[in-house]
Amino acid sequence: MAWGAWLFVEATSPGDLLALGVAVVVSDLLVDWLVLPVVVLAGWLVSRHLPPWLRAPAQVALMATGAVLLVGWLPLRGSARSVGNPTVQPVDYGPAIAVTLAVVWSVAGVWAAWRRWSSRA
Amino acid sequence: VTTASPVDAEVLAPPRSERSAALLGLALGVAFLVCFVTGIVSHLIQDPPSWFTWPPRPAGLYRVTQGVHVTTGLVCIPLLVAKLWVVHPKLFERPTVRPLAHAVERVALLPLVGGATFLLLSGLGNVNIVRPYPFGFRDGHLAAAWITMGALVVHVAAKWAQTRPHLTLHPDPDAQDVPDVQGALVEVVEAGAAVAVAEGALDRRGFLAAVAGTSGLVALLTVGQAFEPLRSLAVLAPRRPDIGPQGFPVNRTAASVGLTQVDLVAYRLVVDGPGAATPLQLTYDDLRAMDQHEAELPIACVEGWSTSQRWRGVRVRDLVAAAGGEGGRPLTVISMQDSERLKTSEVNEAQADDPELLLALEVGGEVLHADHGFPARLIGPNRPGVQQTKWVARIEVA
Repeated sequence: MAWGAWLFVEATSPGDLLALGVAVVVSDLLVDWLVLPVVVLAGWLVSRHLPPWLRAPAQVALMATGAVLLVGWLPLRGSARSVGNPTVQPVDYGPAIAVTLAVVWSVAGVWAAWRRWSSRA
Repeated sequence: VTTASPVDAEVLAPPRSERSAALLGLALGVAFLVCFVTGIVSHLIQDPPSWFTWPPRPAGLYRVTQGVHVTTGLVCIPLLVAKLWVVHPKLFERPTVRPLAHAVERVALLPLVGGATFLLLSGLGNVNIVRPYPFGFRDGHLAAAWITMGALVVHVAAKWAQTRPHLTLHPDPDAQDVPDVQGALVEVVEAGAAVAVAEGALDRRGFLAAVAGTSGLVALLTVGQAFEPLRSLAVLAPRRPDIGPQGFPVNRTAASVGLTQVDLVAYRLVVDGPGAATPLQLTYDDLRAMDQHEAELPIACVEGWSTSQRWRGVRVRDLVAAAGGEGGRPLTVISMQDSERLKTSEVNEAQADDPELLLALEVGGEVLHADHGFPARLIGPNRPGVQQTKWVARIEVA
């Protein structure tokens, strides 16, 4: 850990080390107090308020949706639009992500329907 | 909520458990180690110490290491969220700090969790041109990697005795599970033996399979920026290897460095330096009149995208020989652009002598587009894209 800090100070400045420390702490707070509470809340709602045949498919689909949106969020909002390089984020990510999520939820829907049918049989 | 018999315990084991934490921790540890090693290799190539020589062969090795680096980093995002979700209740355990070893482990969690999260967020941001911090991405990412790996070693050392029984095929039934603070989803009835899982919800195996599937989905939707057969599936990747001038992307455009219109009448390629006995000044026409050679070589960006292209131009070793230089001397290639970081690149002895190190004038059968470095760019095997210098004006022979 000290080696990393030393490398950083050698390449930048002590002031930047403080900025890096802040970035690490903010990253920790972001995941512990924003991302995880949202995940916990979603899990709680699914396990408490959905019928049993729908729970596992909804959990899996929500996990996949969350991952796709986390990774796709920046392209989706066009974060590189201002750099003047049309080869960065070159496609329309909205429809592409919508189709991906439609496939995910369709598979989850088929799985849920099968679970409901088999639980009645 | 249903209660399982001890016989069903493995089937209905809770998602939040020491075994889940251990298995996800193992997966993350391996993934972070892969990212760390491939990342350090990339740093060594770009700023080589005296003891390090990056070979020119295999030509696509850097393409693989950097593609693996970026894809593995992206795959870590759902893995890390899943791991932190599993251990999240421990954040609320009281007393916060118990014996010394526990205190050390708790303190090391801040650089571990914060560092790992920063690494993944800064990596994701970098490939999407988002860098909301006052320091350079490379410096911050490298420092955070060392800090995180150091904290990971401390964490593994502190937790190994507790974790090890959960990494076997048949875990110790007496091992303690993590109580869930929500209470309803999972409830430990009897340590590790009989548990209750919300009816129809994912049990541990289902949860771990879902995490693996989600990570696989992220890989599938991004790896196409480096692995061309899957490019049509790369809907989350910020680059497509088949989109850009002449059919592939660029990192720095000619417009961004004011080189959209290079005056070919005034253009000269200079080959000089201490190792050049008869320094040269060549016009563009002189270059075109020299022996031209072709090579199929990848261009692999540090940001993870890569593509293989057919390049045509003059062998750099022929240029060095024409300037009275000996083969196998290190070279400094200098661009017309003013960027401090991209203006020069170094070519080591092994690379300088490679017959496929070209001063390319064409790609894909066409004269280079301005964005790809017209009138001439360096292209060589097994070099990061950032070192395939564009708009070359001078080659210094050491």
